[in-house]
Amino acid sequence: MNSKTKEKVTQPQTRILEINDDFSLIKRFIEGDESTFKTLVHRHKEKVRNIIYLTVCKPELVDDIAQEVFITVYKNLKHFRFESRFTTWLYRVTVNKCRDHMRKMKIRNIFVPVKENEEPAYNLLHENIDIPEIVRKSIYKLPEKLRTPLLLKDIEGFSYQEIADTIQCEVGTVKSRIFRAREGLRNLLKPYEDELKG
Amino acid sequence: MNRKINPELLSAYLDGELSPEEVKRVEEELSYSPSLREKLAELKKIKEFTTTSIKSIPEAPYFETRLFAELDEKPFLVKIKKWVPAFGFTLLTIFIMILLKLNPDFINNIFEEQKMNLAGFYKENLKPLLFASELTNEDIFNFAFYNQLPLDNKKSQYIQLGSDKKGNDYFEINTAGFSAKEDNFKRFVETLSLSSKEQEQFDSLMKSYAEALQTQILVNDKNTIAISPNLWNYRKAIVADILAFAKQSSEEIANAFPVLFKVETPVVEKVVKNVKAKKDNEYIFFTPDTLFIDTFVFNEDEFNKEMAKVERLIEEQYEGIENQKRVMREQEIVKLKLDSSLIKLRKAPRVDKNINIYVDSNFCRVEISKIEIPDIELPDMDSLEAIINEAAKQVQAFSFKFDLPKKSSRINEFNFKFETDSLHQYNFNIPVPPVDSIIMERFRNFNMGHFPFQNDSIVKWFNHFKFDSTFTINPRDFHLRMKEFEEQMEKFKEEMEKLKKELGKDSVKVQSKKYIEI
Repeated sequence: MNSKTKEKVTQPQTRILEINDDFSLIKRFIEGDESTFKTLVHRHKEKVRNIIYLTVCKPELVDDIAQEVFITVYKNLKHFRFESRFTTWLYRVTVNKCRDHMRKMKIRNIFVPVKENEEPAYNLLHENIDIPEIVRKSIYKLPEKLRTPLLLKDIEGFSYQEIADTIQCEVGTVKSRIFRAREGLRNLLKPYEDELKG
Repeated sequence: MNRKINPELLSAYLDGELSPEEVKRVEEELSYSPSLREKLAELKKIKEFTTTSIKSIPEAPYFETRLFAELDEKPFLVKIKKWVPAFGFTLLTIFIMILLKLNPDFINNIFEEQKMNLAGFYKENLKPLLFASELTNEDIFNFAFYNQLPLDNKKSQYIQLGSDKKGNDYFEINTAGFSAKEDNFKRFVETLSLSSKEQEQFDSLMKSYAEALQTQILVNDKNTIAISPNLWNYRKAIVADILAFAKQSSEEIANAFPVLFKVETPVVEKVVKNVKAKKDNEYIFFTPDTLFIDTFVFNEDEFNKEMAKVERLIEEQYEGIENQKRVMREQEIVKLKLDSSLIKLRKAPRVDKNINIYVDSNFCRVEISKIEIPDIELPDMDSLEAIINEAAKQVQAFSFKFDLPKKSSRINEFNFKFETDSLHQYNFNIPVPPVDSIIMERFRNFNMGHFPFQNDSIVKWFNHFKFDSTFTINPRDFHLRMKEFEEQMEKFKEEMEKLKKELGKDSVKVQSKKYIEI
């Protein structure tokens, strides 16, 4: 057992504190060691990028939004209260930044002509059906408030509580939204029932 | 046990998010219920699809480098960058406010200039649509009495003049299907029984009007039609001239229509002279995206010289001259295409100052409430108009009678008599296809595809023009009336069958005539 002070986290079992866990790094950052921020970034950047990609669905925006997330975290890290996990706060900032961007895109699209050639939802005439592509497109047809909890659960493996903390709602709401997302996806994939069975 | 399980619990069970008690309850229900097991399997499948379908995003090797470069940037510069757009926008606003204060008409001037540029654009290269050589006497006659002029030599589009109950003048640009009857001029001339000299005079009269009408409608390569308001006066002048000529040449006609010919020739001459003397310097411009009234002077002399030159060139250089001319003329024809987004004007016409525009898929009507028709000294013009209208009413005093179809003929024929109180009686034999098959087929199926115009005109035609002289009819009423008509036709058919049996083998004779008087 490590002689360093134990620290209880939100999960029931105790963990042996490592010198480089998130809380320690943040403490050292607050004390003036800004190099610890690089470690935090390195540790969490891929997760943040994945969440942004799953939420916004545009690869070209991922890095810009991720930059904004970490800049915000950098500016506000000194005020971190250690009441919840760092990742909870980090992912919350990430989801909020994504929503801000999507709001801006929506307003911008009012002034931009509607694209005439949208890809057809169902391409039944296509001989070689790419099932993952169909499923992906169907997932992205779901509204953001259903899609985000579903993908945080199934792709990132967040618990319902973690999802609730990230998107700032109740666990019951998360449960309901994930179920509705799966039902929605089931309806969208109905025309491809035969192909999906194979 | 058959308690209902909330489907959301199944989804949470799949995710391992239930408490031990809930897990136990769900598993118990699953063991009893095949449908529940099926539902769980479906959810599991969906979860698998989700998990396997999302690709991971590629790594960004320079992400951290960029981030730390941005974090190392001096705060002052960052603030400047952040506030530059706001400052720029504020400065621009202040600049515009100062500019408008010093020059209040600045924006109006820009709009006026743009309007003039647009008007100038549409006024370029305007040429007469109606070439004098292409307008036949029939066209001039129909224009005078039916207010219609063809816009091309294939007669696929017409311009129709008119005025509604409120006294607003309007013109319509119609597609084919609304054409005036054929051979009106021919029948009119036959009735007059002119000598060859008189025929020449009459042709010359019509020719002079054909030349005059040339400058009334102009077109260009930008799909613009420019119509002179004097076109309305020309129509009146042509009517007056034709009737005066008819009176002069045929006492019989003059006696047959005494009411009509109270017009004295000198008055007509004055009217015609004044109309022709009026300069055409204002036109109504009808373009694909706008409608406006503006001054424009068409240089007829220059145009005639140009046309003479072109014709000489064609005669000298090409064979098949007539075909070439026709091709050249055809190229001048304007195909007026209406913007489909204007279809909404069918219900809510666009009103712009004194112009109302109604659009349908078959035609477009422009009502001009305050058209500046040039003033002409026409002391008796109103009374002439009244006389013509009175004569039109007189025409309605005739009776129309028709006989039943002859049994021997394969195609039914109606013998049609046109009788008046005076000297004339006309007989026409009109072949009529079997009525019952047409009516039963057409109105049962209500198939509008055979008509030369589109469905929406049929159903909504009468609702278009609220203030028009045409009567309005609700489409639902129209349909009900059609149904009633169909039932009446059925009864009529039964009566006809009975009548045939009663009459036996004899062909239809006088005693079997039925008359319908109008």
